[in-house]
Amino acid sequence: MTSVGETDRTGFSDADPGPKARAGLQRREHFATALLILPVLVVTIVFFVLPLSMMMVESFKKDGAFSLAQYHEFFTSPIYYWVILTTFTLSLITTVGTLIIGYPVAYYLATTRSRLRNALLLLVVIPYWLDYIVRSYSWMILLGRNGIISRALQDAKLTDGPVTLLYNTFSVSVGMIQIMLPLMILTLYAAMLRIDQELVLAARVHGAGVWRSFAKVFLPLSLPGIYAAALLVFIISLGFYVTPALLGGPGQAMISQSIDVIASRLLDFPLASAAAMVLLAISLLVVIVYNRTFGWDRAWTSPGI
Amino acid sequence: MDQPRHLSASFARAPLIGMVLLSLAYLIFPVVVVVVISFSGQKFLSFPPASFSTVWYRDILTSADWAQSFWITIRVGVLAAFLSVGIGLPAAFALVRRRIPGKGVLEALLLAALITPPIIKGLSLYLFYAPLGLNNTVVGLAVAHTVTGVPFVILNVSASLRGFDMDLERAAVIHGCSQLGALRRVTIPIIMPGIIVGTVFAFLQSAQELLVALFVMGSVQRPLAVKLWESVRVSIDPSIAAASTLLIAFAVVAFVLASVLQWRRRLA
Amino acid sequence: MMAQPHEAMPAGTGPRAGATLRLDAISKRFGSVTAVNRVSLEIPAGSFVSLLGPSGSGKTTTLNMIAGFLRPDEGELYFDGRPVANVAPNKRDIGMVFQSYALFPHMTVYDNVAFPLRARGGLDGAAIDRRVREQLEMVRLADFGERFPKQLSGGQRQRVAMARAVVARPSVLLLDEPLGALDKNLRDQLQGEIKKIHRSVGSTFVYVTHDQSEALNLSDLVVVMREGRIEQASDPRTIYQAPETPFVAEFMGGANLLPATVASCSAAVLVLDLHMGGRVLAPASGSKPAEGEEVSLLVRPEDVLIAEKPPADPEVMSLSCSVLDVAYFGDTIRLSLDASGTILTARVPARGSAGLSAGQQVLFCWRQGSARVLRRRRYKP
Repeated sequence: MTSVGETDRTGFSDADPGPKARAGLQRREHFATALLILPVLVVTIVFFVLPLSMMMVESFKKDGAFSLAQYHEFFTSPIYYWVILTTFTLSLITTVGTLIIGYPVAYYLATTRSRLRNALLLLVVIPYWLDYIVRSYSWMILLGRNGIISRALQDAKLTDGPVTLLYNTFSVSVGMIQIMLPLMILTLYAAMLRIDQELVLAARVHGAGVWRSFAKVFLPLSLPGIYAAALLVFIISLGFYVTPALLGGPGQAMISQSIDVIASRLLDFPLASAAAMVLLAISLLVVIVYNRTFGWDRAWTSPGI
Repeated sequence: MDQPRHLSASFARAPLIGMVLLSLAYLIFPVVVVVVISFSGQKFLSFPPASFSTVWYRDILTSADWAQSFWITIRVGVLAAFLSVGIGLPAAFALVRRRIPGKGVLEALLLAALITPPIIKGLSLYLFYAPLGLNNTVVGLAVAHTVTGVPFVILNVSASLRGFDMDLERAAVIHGCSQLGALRRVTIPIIMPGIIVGTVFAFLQSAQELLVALFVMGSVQRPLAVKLWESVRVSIDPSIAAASTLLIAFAVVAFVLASVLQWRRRLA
Repeated sequence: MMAQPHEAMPAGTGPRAGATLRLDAISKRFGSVTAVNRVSLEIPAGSFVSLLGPSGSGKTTTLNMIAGFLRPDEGELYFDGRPVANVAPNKRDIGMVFQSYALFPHMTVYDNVAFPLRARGGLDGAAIDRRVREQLEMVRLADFGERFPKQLSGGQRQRVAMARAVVARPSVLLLDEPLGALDKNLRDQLQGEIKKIHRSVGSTFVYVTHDQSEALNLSDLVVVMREGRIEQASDPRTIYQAPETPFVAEFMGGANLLPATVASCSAAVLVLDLHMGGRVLAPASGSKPAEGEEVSLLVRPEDVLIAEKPPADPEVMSLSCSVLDVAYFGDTIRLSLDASGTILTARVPARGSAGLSAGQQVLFCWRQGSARVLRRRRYKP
C-alpha cells in the first residue's frame, strides 16, 4: 500500500507512479471494461446462444441417442423441399421488389433539398414500426372478397360476383414487399447519405449528362448500400411467418410455418429443431456474407430524421 | 447533419417524385384502410364501409380478454425495455469508448440475436425454458425480448455517444466533477434522446413480437400480439381493426415522441 | 482514501495568487510516437505563459498533462511544490477554456457559469448566485444568463467559456487555443479581455496557441515547442529579438535565415561563408560556434536597408539581388528579393522607397551588429 505521504494523491489512484502501479491501473481499467460488457454478454449467451445449442442437441437426438434421422426425414420429404423452395422464391421476390420500389424513394430522400424530406421520412418510418399482423391484416381487407379491388372489378362489370385476390403468390408478395419496404428504403438512404454528392456534381461539370453521371458515378457508389440492404431484407424475409399465413394458401407456406406446425401441432420437437437448424444455417450463411461486405450498424439506428 | 447537395433541379425530377408518392401511398394506404375500417358500422369487412360507428372500440375496451392481453404486453414490454437499457447502456459506453478485444465477435453476436428468424428463437427458448419453468412467465418473455431489445439500445446510444464531444465531459471534470458526476450531470443528459429512442424501440419490438411470445406465452396469458394473431385467424371482423388502430396510435405516439427528442438533440 | 487537504479550498473567494507550476522532465508516448519528450519548465505563480508551436509539437499534450487528462509516462508535475501527476483533474483546482468552448448545450449560460461553483461545493446558493452574476458582469453578458449556448454568437460563447473557467478563481487557468475559431478582429479584441481577466483573477495562465502574435502580445513567458521538446522559453522580447535557434526565428515570423559555414571566430566577430556565396561578418553572442560549424545567420526584415551602391561603412554587409515583388502596407513596404536563388524579405519605410519596382537590381544590406548567428540545437540522446 501507499505511504502516508501519498494520501492526498486522489483521483485516478492512490498508488505510487511507476511501471508497477501503471500496470495495476491498466488492469483495473480492463476490469471496469469487462464489468460494462459482462451483462450483455451473459444475457445474450444464456438466453440466445445456450437455447440454440440445446435446440441443436435436440435436433440430433432420437430415442436418447445421437442420430441424423430428423435431418434425413427433413431432406427426403418432398413437402419440405417445396417449402424451402417457396421460402427462397418469396424472399427473392420480396428483395427484388423492395429494391425496385425502394431505390428511387431512397435516392429522392437522399438528394432532395425539399423541406418535406423529414415529413416523407416519417411516412417511411412509421409503417416500419407498425405490427406485421396489422399490416398483413390490412391487405386481407384490401384484397379480400369485399375489398376495394373486388368492388371496383364488380362496379366495372368485369366480374359477376365478388372475387378474392388472396391466397396466392401475388398477395403474399404484395404484403411482404410492403412490410419490408421501409427497411430497404432506410438502409439504402443511410448508405446514400454517405455518398459524396460533389463527385456527381464533378461528373456533371465535366460534361457527363444527367443520366450518365447517375449511371457512372452515383449508382456504382451506391452499390455497397444496395448489396447490404438487399441481403438484410432477404435474410429477414426468410423468417417470415405471419404474412404468408394470412395472405397465402398452402402453396405459399414458408419454412417458419412448417416449423411451427411440426412443433405446435405434431409436437415433434426433434424434427422441428432440425428444420430450425436448417433455417439457421441458411440465415447464418447469408449473415456471414453480409457482415464481410458491410458494417452492420446502420440499419437499426434511429432513422435519420 | 449537412443536407446533401441537390444534384440538379432538372434531373428527371417530376417522374421521380411521382414514383416516390406512389411508393409512399403503397406504404401508407393499407394503414389508412385499417383505421377507417375500425370505425365501420358493419359486421363484415368492406372498404369503404357503408356506415360508421365506434361500436368495435367499445367491444375492445370493455373486453376483459383484450384488457388482460394489453396489460401483459405492457408488463413484458416495459420490463424488456428497462432490462435492455440497463445492460445496453454500459455496453454502448464500453463499445464506443474502450478498446475491447473481440469487439467484432460481440457485435456479430448482437447482430445474430437481432436477425435470427423469430421462429428459431421461439422454439429454442421454449425448449430451454421448459425444464426451468420459465414458460408462461412475464419475466421469461421479457428476458427473451431483452435479447432483441438490447441491440436497439446499443445502436442508438452508440450513435449518440459517437457524436458526443468528449471536451464536454473534460470540461465537467476539470471544473470540479468526479468522473461519475460528469456522466450524471453532463454526458447522460446530453445523450438522453438517444437513450429514450433506443428504449422506445426496445419496447415497440417487444410489444409486436409474435413468435417467441407464441411459444413462450401462448397458452394461459396471451400478450397482445398473440391475442391479435389468434383473433385474425378465427374471424376478421372490425374489432381487430379497432385493436390494430389502437396499436397504430400507440406506435405513432411513441415514434413521434422519439422523433421530437431526436430533433431536440439535433438542435443541441 | 482520506480527506484531501488541498481540495477544501472554498471556491470563488475573490482573487488570490495563482500556483507555481513545475514540470519535471515529463514525457508522454502514444505508441511509438513520443509526443512530449522530457519537458522541464518552471512557471511562476500568477504569470501568463504561452505554449507556442506548430501542430504536433506537443503543446496540447503538455496542456492535457497539466490538466490531468493525460498521465505522464515519466516525470512529475508540481503545483506549488505538491506533486500532482496522479491527482485527478477535478482535484487540481484548475479552470479551462477549450478550443470548442465545450459549453454544456443543455444548460443556460447562467448554469454553465455556475457549474464549477456547484460542482466544487462549499458555497451556498446565494453566494453562488452573487459570484455568477459578478462573473457574467465581468464578461459583459449580464443579460444573457437565461440564453442557451446555441443562441449566442461565437464571441459570446468564448466569453461564457472564459467566465466559466475563472468563476471559481482556480489557481491555474488553462486555455487551449481559445480564440482559434474566431475571426481576426474579434481575436484582437478578446486578447485585450483575456489580459484584463488575467490581471483581475491572478491565476496562473497557461495558454496554448500556434499564433505567435497572440503569444507575444499576451504572455510574460513564451515557450516555443517543437517535436515534443522545448526549443526556447523566454520573455516575448527576447524570443523575438534573440531567438536561440533557426526554428524559433522562423516560427516567430518573416525572418531571413542565411545558411553559412563559420570560417573563423575571434572574441567579438565571426567570419561566415554564406552558402549562397559571399563572406560576411557577424557578431559573436551567446555560445560560440566552432570553426567549420554549420550555422544560420538571422537578418530581421525590419533591419534590412536597401541600397543601390555598395556601402562605404565596413560595418554594413551587403548582398546583391533583384526585386521580385513589392507589397505596399501603408507605412512600410515589403520586398521579396532573389539573391542568387535564395528568397529574402525586407521591410522598409514606405517613404523614400517609391522608386523600387520588380526586376530592379539592388543591394540587400544590414548592419553587422543587427544580425544574429543561430546554432542548430543538438539534443542529448
